[in-house]
Amino acid sequence: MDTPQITPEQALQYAPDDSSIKAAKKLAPAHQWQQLHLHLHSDGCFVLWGDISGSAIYNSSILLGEKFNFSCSCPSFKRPCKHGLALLMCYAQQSSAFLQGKDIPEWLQKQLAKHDASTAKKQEKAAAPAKVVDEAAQAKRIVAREKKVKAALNELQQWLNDVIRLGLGQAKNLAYSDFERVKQRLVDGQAAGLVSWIEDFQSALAHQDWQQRATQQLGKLQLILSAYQDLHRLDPKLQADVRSLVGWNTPQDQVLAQAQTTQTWMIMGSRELEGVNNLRYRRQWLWSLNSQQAALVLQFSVGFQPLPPAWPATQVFDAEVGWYDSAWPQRIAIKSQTPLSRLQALPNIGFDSIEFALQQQAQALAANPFLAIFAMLLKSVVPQQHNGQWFVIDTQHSALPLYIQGDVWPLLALSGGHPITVFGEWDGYVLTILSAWHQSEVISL
Amino acid sequence: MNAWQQLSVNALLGTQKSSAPIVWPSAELNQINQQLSAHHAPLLAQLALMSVYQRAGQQATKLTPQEPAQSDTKQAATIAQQQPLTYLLSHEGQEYLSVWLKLAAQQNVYFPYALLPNLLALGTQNKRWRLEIGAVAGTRGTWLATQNTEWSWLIGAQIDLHNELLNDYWHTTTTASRELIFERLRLQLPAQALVFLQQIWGEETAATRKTLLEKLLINLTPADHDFLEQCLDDRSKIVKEVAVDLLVRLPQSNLQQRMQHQLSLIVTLKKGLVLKSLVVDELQNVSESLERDGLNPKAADIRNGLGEKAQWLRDIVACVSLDWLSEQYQIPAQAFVTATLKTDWAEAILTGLATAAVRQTQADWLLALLEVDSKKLQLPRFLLFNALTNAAKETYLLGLLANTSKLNERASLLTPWLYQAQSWPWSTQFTIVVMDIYQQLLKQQQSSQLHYYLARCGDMSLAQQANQYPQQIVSAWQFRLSLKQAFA
Repeated sequence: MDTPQITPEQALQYAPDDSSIKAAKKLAPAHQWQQLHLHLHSDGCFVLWGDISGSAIYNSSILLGEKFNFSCSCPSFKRPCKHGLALLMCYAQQSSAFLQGKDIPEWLQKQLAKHDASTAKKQEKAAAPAKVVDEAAQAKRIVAREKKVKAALNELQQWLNDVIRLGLGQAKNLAYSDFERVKQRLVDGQAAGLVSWIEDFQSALAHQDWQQRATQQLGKLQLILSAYQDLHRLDPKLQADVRSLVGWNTPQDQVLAQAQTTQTWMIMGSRELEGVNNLRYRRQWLWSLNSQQAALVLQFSVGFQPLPPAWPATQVFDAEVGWYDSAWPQRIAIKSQTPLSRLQALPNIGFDSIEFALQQQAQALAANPFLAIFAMLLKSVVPQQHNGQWFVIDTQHSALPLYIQGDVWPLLALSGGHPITVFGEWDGYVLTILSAWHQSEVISL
Repeated sequence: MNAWQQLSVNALLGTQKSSAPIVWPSAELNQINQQLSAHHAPLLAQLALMSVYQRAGQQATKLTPQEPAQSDTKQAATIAQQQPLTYLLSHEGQEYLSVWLKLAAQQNVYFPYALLPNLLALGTQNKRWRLEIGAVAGTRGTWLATQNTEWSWLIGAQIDLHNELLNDYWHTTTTASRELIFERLRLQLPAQALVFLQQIWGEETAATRKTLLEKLLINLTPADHDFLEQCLDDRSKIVKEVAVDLLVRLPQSNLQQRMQHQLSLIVTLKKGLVLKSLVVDELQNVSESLERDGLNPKAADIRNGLGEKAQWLRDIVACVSLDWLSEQYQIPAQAFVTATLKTDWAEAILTGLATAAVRQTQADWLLALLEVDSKKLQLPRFLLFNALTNAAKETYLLGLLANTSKLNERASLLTPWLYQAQSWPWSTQFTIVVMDIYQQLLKQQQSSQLHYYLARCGDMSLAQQANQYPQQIVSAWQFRLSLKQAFA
């Protein structure tokens, strides 16, 4: 059986904070560990374990299941602690230092027994017959929510009317608390999906080019409100888009029930963002090598719970997926998938020119005018700075402004002024680049 | 002003104020607009309509791409060669980075492009990497250095030393780049380097003059003598100190001969029936000539506890040839040190001798000085140790270990030398001795830092033999081996 492949970047994604990364890096070299082992558990999951000397000898282990389960005998309250993180980093940097064997110490046997018992319990629960849904009560709940959402949206409309009456020149002077009140009302009215749109409007008012951006943002908000008011007149797929924007969730089971035939997906990159109520989420982008279209997987976590590690860009897997209803489908849920693998050579895929990509966006907006982000895979573009702003330029000299969360130099070094392939999210103003590649070199940004 | 700009102005002013009429870009939009007039807030509805229209019709900006980087003539790194690079660039892995860079330079391999910014940032932070980086950065590195002024030093590490424009570049480039050109010239064309240095000598600050002069140590030959002798007249004390340090490394330099003459006047050997003793006739003042040769007439260095006359004696001793000293006084190193210890000037003479021994890397003198009881005199023991050859270092440490059989004492004897001195690649025999001590400590469940030095400096070829060594050390050796194997 192939041993798991983990990159140092993936390992670091489990860090609860920056100080843990710093501490773990010191403990990651193999010579810091008294012993390092890799054990294949009976359920098919690999377990990393090792002993490290601190104030005492600490036993650290990681069950490499669907979610990594860290355990350590040190007194730290952080999970993973620096030892767990260092153990994972050590494996990522030097997997050959881990001895493979069946014999495991007693402390690990106890941990695995506990894990097995918990898994068995979960399976038992899953196997139990599903609770009968009280459809009447459910319908009643939906009607009640509809009422609350409509009330919240009416208030939002009223607020927008006030804003436009006074003018954006006055809106620029609105206090932070004014926006907070509007957002809180949306959360209370179970229309939390619009909170991010209000935040965008707030940011637009503070932007250097605030006049254009705030006007644009106000128009987008009004478009959603108008659409929701006349929802029944829209195509059912567009209705689903509007409802989703407002905050109505589609149950994943419903999406998976419509899962289609298996396709090969290439991982394009990801972006982590914060939502309301301590929610964090990741937009993980994929590209179908069969249908040549982008797909989005959303991953969520609440509070201090870490998000699962992002998938490494340009690796591929086969998966059966279900598409969420939309006039321009983007979001998917994965029903089943094969392990990640690397391609021998990276494929020559993506939009040939920026002009073509913008035409595609126009088509997407014609189908779904509420589309906030359009995924762009551009081949043969060159990153370049012009008057303090970075751009990607295609072979026809068309350029789009780019943004990178972090350092732009790796992208520039990868290109060296030569065409490369980039993937990013285009929001109408800027292309946020998430990954780029040239020949066999790949960078995640 | 187009429809969108007009709408923006209207939105800015608000509907309380009179708004300008909109000229719609198409009849279709005009028609839709008429339907919107029934809306409770027509301007908001118009914005909703035009926000989508505007976005759907977005046009790209037109820009001209700049000149790309030239194609690399070096080879790309293989996957095995690339694999450890993220670790090697981290703070913890940097101790092995030099190995990778040297191997890559030997095999004409360029550094992977996407990681080049990290490597260049490392070179910007720490000068010691710059020459090695220059050898692997390739044409992509050259191109990047033109994009980021912080990396401009790379040009100095890469420019062809036979380039016709080198002379112009030497005069116009940054100090960082000039340092690198000078270092490379010293390695390859030492005489030309000296000519280049003389060209800019008068224009540079004392700090730059000192930095460049220090690099004359590379391939130092008698050809540099006259220039260095002139540097003794430099107005800067720091430059003069470097000139003295270099001149005394040149055998038979004028400075060395002047100092030897001076020493022979103030230190004489008194021969007894059995023993010989040194007699020091202290120097009363510093002449102008001695001041030019680096002696400080107002010496008041309290830090090391020496008075001014002792400091003058120390500085004179530090500048003489140790071969001359043995010949002049007709006693070998060990005997000279023993004789010195009996004088009142022991600390001054021995400190001077230590400086001379380090400069001239004279093993017999280094070892004789290392034998001096550290409780009596504070000599720079680790500097003396560093000046020994690797084999001599190990012989010295094994000699120390042979004096005791107690495990804890053996470990305590070894650790300060490994911690304080510069690391060196250990021989198999030395590795086995240290490993034995470490394994015995482990058996007794005693903590030790020896594993760190074993992993880093121990003979990694031992990992290829059947062994019972601790796994973490073997893993570190295997990692070091894998770095080499990736380039095999």
